[in-house]
Order: sequence, then structure tokens, then C-alpha cells
Amino acid sequence: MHLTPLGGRGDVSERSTASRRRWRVWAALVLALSGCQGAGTDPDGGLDPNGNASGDPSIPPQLIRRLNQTEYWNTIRELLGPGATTAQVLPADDQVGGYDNNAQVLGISPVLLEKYALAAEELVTSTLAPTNAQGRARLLTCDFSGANEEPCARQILASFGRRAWRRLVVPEEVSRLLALVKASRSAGDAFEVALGVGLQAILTSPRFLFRVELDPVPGAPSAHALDDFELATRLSYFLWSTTPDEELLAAAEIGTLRQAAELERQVRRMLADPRAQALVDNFAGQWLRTRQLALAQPSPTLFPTYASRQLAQAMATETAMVFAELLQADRSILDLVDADFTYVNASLAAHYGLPGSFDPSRFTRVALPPESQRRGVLTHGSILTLNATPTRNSTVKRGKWVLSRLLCDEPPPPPPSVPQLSSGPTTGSLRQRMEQHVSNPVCAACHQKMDPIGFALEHYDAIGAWRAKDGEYTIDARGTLPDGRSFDGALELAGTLKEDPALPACLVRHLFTYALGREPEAADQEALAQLTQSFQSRGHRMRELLVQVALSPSFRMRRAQQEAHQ
Amino acid sequence: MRRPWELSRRTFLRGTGTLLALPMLEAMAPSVARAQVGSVPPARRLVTFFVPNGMYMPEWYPAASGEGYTPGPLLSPLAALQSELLVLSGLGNKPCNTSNVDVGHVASTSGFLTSSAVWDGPLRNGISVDQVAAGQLKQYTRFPSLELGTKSGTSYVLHNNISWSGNSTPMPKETRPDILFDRLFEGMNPNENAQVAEARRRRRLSVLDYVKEDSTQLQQKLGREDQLRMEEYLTGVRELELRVQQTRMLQCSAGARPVQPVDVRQQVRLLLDMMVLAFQCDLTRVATFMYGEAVDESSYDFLSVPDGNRSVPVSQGHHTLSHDISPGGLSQRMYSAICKWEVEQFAYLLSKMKAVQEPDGTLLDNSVVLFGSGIGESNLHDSWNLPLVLAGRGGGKLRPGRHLIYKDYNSLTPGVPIAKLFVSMLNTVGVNTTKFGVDGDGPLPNLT
Repeated sequence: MHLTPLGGRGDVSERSTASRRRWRVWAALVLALSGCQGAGTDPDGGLDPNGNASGDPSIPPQLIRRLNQTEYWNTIRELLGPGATTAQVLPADDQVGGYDNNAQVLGISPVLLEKYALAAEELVTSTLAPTNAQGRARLLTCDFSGANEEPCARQILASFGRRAWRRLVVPEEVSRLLALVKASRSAGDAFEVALGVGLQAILTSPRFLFRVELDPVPGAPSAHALDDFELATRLSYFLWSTTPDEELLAAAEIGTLRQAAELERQVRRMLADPRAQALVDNFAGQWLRTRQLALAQPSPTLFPTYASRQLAQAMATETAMVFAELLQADRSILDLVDADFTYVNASLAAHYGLPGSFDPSRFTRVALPPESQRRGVLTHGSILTLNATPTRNSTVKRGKWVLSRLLCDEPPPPPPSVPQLSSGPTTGSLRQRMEQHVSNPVCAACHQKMDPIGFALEHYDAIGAWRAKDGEYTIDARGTLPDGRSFDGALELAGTLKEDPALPACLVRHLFTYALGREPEAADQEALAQLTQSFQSRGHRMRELLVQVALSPSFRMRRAQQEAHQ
Repeated sequence: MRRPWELSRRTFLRGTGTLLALPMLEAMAPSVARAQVGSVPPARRLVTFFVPNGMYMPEWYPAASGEGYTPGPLLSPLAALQSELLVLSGLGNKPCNTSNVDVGHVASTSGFLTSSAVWDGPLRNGISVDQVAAGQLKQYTRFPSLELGTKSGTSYVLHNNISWSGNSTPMPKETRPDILFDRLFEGMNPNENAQVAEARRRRRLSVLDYVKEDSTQLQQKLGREDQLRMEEYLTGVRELELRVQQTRMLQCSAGARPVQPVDVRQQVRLLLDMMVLAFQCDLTRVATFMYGEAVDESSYDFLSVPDGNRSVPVSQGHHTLSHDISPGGLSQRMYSAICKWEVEQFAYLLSKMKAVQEPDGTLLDNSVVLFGSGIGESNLHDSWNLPLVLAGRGGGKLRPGRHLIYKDYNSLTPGVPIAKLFVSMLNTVGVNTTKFGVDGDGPLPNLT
């Protein structure tokens, strides 16, 4: 079936007039009915090739969410250019499941509203300041002298509003914004100042601060396709962490974006754009937790080179660059765990003991010889340092990181009343002390999974430097998992992990969480299984997975919140 | 040369004719505040000071109860202030034990001030005591409440927030004293031309008016959960609108804008200075201070403990140390050193509050200031016996100078609900309630 009215020009942005509302009610009714027919038979699980709903796939309702801090600043830069400034500092966003784009934490408290409102004022004022020629040229796109003033203001408000609200701004909305400008003018403000009031209103509106998705029929039980603009918005914040560009908006406006072929074309175009670096910074940085490296505090007494060589930044960069290469070169992303190359600057090369001379700031790609004892992300300084305490490496934290970030099998927190490992006077190697510690049966179940992984990494100290011995003790880097798989050292562990079917499934789960801004629920199991299947059949290439996630009904459809939901 | 923010009271009064304009502008103030003129109750403040990872309890409890007790090692930084505070033992947070998240680290922190079960997926928490107080006291001040802390974001939401609005939304913390200063005194630059300020106020109000209408329209098209989010947005807009309308004069000297701190020690001091300044200027009457976060693993290289005949820095992480507390061991002594340092910061706050003289006593006399952690004994993650100090006289409603024991704190049985303490704290600052959270069914006895 084909439903042009939903996807057609103009309709997608306009939700206020009664006639269109009737259209939507009718259309949704048809959708709901057709859903009953289509469910289960549609290979795409709910969408026809034109991107219209043809089934009712299992999709949980989604919360409206605020742009997080990263998204907000990226978006502001796109809209106002680099000359826009503000003294406002937004509080960092909290996380759920390790991601700061989770809808659960993206509400808006009064202090945030206040900061966004004041930021809008300062940003707009600085963009229109006489000294900011670039900013003025960007916004003042028409002749506003004399009688041209009103039509020009109208034009600017409509086009800025379209970009900021990521959809068409209807004439009535423009008129209401224009009324602000006129009132300001009548009170004696200069045109730029008065126009600024309208622009501030656009940037303070929830239509800008939140990613708004509306239901054609509030509370309707079946899932429906997002409109083209909503889809454009999901897509650009997923792949770029910023607002849709003109090409994406244009595709949304003519109503083609929802078509699978066009959607795929856009995704591939976006992945080739430099803005796709956001996936490295915001997805990989949070999936692998390398962002947290900035908070690590290795003891300066025990590990003086950590600060003196500025290793924190270098380590984070290394991991980001390896991920970026796998993404850009369209290789299997599973190579991350055993990649035979890496990127280093002079400090990191010295830290790793790699021979040769390296640039102090620029990162160079190096092939890793076997004697380097480095291969894959588990041997990156970033992951090793992140999962240590200030004074020593941590078997448990390393094991837990692998389980939660790579295998999605995070152990529960330890039961109460169990002392952690003593850092005091030692009796035996860290490994020996650990083994004593977990002989307690209450602890054993989880530690049997975590510790063998951590043991395999014993050769790397709290900041990831290679060591032949743990103090005076010989290192035993062998580990055996409860199911019998065993390995000796980091390189064999990497090989074991790469073969583990939980690894690709886990990556899919993490990317899904990031793409949708919510943790998967029971209702998503089928969708995750399908994505994992297609990921595997496409050679575990990251780019293909990104395309498949964007094409999935979970990404392109939504379900209304039920009125009775509490 | 003075920087723009270094304002003395005199400068304010000299200002730009603002003083003369005061009666007229006061008439623009929100009607609630206006209704109070003439019958304004004296200013009372409610403060909470949270620290993570519990306390080393064997060194926490005083040896005796009642008056004239001898403080243990961890309370010794408060010795000079003993007559200003109550040590409360045997209070606990039972509701956090019914959460669907880890209690010891997660729920005991985010539920510390809510006395409610904490849920993740979807996020659910009760309203925190500070926000209940703010709901009533906001009518008197520019800011309903201040949420301060040393860490912001970058971690799990339930590790990182003690202040929660009624809608299960965490109240983000200000972590930079310089930014907080700017926020407190925004738009109060007396060197600014009055006409310019008035024009800005006009424009701001028109923007806020617009978005209020806009969001109300939008709200009607949203699902129920989204409507709640939009309600939050509107609350923020209304609060900001009131603030923009208010033109009451500052009751104080703002002083110099603080610097951006270089380390956590300076950060804590400057943030607490700002808190006291905000009370002094009557910009708010409610504040929370969240030091660190749950499972905080910060190292304290600036502290050291004796080890044999040398002194060693506390370089192991706080959380790790809190689980390695064999009595007398090096780790335990390091843990205690951190606990004591935290109490010292609280003592600093109290001393500053005591130094501020108000018409009816000191600022401390007119406040209730709670210090505590979400757990007591750290290995047990004990949320049934919390380390708590309540300072201040609450305007004469409390009788400090005692150690009160509400139940045997050495037994792992549920303590008397801390929620009852919250009922009492709320009553003290003029919030008339008999209930708080899940198990606060009346005030805590024996405080007066």
C-alpha cells in the first residue's frame, strides 16, 4: 500500500491545523488496520520499500529527549558558525549504561533551562555583533532596508527556524516569531537586535532543545513510521552528533528520505563526511569508556611518566585512531581486539618501548611486531589504565571491562560484607592474592569469569607498561574460563575473544543503545538478533552495521506512549 | 583596579538610580513574594553535605551519649563547634534497600535524601528533602535552591546525584565556583546603564513568554511521559521568568569573582564560600553539597599518613581503601585520613556560617546543616546505621551540643528512619509536614 499524504511535501511539518489532523487520524487508522495484515509476513518487519508502515514490529515507546551537551554545541556551531560565543557553561550530562545520549537522563531541570536561555541570548547577540562579519553574513541573508524589513525578517525566521527545528516552520509560526521582532522594533530596538529576539526564541524553544517526535494519533497502539524530518534528525544525531545538513533536510522535504534506497544512500554519504568522526568520539569513546581516561589518577609517585609524558591524551587518541581506521577502511570491526597495527606519538612509542623515532605530537601508524607484546585494544594503554586503581593494575576491573563492554555479560556488584583485595603488605603476587580472595564461594561464580581475563593481562602494569615480573614474582598470565577455553597472555586472550559469538552480538547491542538513546528491552530481542545476523553476513564491517541499524524498523519507526503509562 | 564583579554595597547604592526606582520595581515582583511583605518569617536555611564511601565507623562514634561527650578521632575537627551540633547515631535508610539497583553503592547515594526506593529503567526516585524545602522557601529568594558538588556528569546518573525533583529528574550540580558566581549575580552589574538593563529584561520576558506558549501548545500533542518532561521545561521557564522580573536589591556585597580552582581542595573551599555568600545575600535558602560521587575512587596525594618512621601519601583510591579496613593497617589509616579531611571541610563550612552575623543570631544559628554519607560501615555497605551530624539551631528550634543515640548502632538492624530527621528539618525551616519519603511518619524525637 502507498500512503503519500503522510510522507508528502508540507504535511510532515505541519501538525496544527484541523484538516491535517483529520488526515492523520484517517491515515493512522489505515496504518493500524494494515498493520494487522502485514505483521509477520513483511521481511522488513514493518516497513515497505517506500518507508511506510506495513506491519507492527515490536518497538517500545521512546521518550522525548534534550540535545545533550555535545549535540547542543555541535548544533550551535552548525547554525551560527564559529564566531558565536557564550560564557554559559552547561553541566556535564549524566550517563546510563555508559552513554550520555540516553533519553532517561535527558530531561531539563530549571538550571539547565536557565543556562540554555541565557546561552541563546549571548550566542545570537555575538553572532549579530558588528564585529562578527561572518556571523552577520550567515544570518542576515536579505536586504532589510526600508520596506524590505518585514519580508526579510520573515524569510530569515523561516529559514533559520527550519534548520534549528529540523523541519518546516509553517507561516503561522513564522508570524508569531515575527510578532516578537516587531514588538522589539516598536520598543526602539535596532533591526538586528529585534531580529535577535526572534532567533533567541527559536533557540530557547523546546522544538530546538528537544528532539521532538510526534504521534499522528496520540496513544495509538501500533508502531508508525517516523516522518521524514524526524528520521533526518535521528540519522544526523546518530551518525554526526549534530543537526541535519541541507541535503538531508532537502531529502526530508521532498519526502524521499524514508524510502529505503534513499535512506541508505544518505547514510553512506554521511559516513564519508568528516562529521562521522562523531562516531569515534561519542560512540567508541563511550562504548570502550576511553572518555573516562581523563578521570584516571595513577599515582604520580609510582607512575611519574603518566603525567610527564602526557600519556592520558595520547592513549585515548591511539584507541580512537585504530577504531577510526577500521571504520573508514571498512574492515571487520572485530579486528579491534587483535589489530596488528596501532598509532603512536613519541611519548606513547617510548611508553610501549617501540623502536624508531616518532613525532612528539603527530600520530604515526605502526605495524606491531610480535616482540612488542602489543596487539589489539586489550593491550592499549587506554584500556589498561582505565581499569586500574591509582597504585596497581586491577585484575577484576579489566575482566569486568571485557565482560561488560565486549561481551555484554556484566557481573552483578559484589555482595555486601565482602572485603576487597588488600593493597597493604603483600603476601604473594597479585594473582596469588586474588586466587585466595575468590576461594570464597559467594565470590567465585562471578570471579571465575572475570579473573582469568584479568590474569591474561598481568604483564601490563597500572598504566599499561609491559613488565616481565610483578615486583619480585614471576607472572603467570594463563587463564581458563569456566567453559574450559584457556589462553596464555594478552595475545591469546584476544584470539579467544575474537572467536566468541558474544562479541559481535554485544557490539550490536551497544550500537543499538547509542543509536536509539535507550537500552534494549525484551521487545527488542528480535531486532537485535536480526541485526547481529546481518552484521555477521556482511563480514562484521562497522559501516555495514551502521547502515543496517539506520535501516532497521527500530530506528525508523516509533510507538506512541500509552496514556495509561505511569 | 576593580574588576566588574567586585561590587561593594556602597557601589550598589550609588548605582544608577536603582534605589529610587525600587518601590516601583518591587511592584513588579511576583505576587507570591508580594503577599509575604509585612509578614515575612525570619530567614531559615536548610543545607545538606554529602560524602561518599561511608566513614570508618570505629573512629566515628563518640564514646558517650548526651552532653559533654568526647568526640572520636574523625569528629575531632568539629571539637571547637561541639556546642553547635548534634551527632545522630542509629538512623538508617531502609527504603533504599527495596531498589532495583545495587543498594550499597547506587541506591544509598541517589536515595540518601529521598528516603525512597530508586529505580533504573525507567528512572524513578522520590523527591529529595532539599527540593521539598525549596518548593516552599523559593517564594522568598531569587533561586529556589543551589546544587553544588565537586563532580558533574561523566558518570552513571545514580552515582552522581543526591538532589531530585518531584519528577524523578536529577538536579544537576554546579561544580565551578566562578561560574556559580556569575549565575548568582547575573544582571546585577550596577555599572550597566539602567535603560540597557530594562531593555534586556523586556526582550527576555518576551522570549520567555513566547516559549511558554509554544511549549504549552507542543505539550498537548505529546504522550504522557513526554508531557511530564515538558512540564519540567515549563517549570524552568516560569522560574527564570520570576528571576528576570525580580529587581530587588542585593542585601550584601558580592565581593570578588572567585578563580577557577586548580585542585579539589580549592574547589571545595570556594564552592562553600559561594554557598555562604548566597545565604548572606539571601539569594537562596536551600543548598546541597555533594562531595565526590558514589564509589568515588579519587586519590588524595595531598594527604599523608605515618608509616613506620616515614610519611606516605594517600595515593590509593578512596573506594578501594574503603574496602580495606583491617584495623590499624596502612589502608585503614589512609581511609580514616580521607574521612577526617571530609569532616574538616564540613567544619570549614560551619565556621564560615558561624562568622556571619544576622539580626537574630548567626547564620549557623538560623540554619539546619546536615553532614552524612549514604552508608556507614563501608565493607557492609551499611545503610541502616548512617554517620550523621546535624549542625545549627534552626532559629532556636534545635538544642545542639549532644550525641543522640536512636538505637544500638553496632547491630545490623534497621535504624530509626532518617526520613523522620528530614521531617524535623523541614519543620524547622517552616515547611509544615508530618511525612517524608516512604517511612518518614513524623518528626524525630529529642532534637529540641
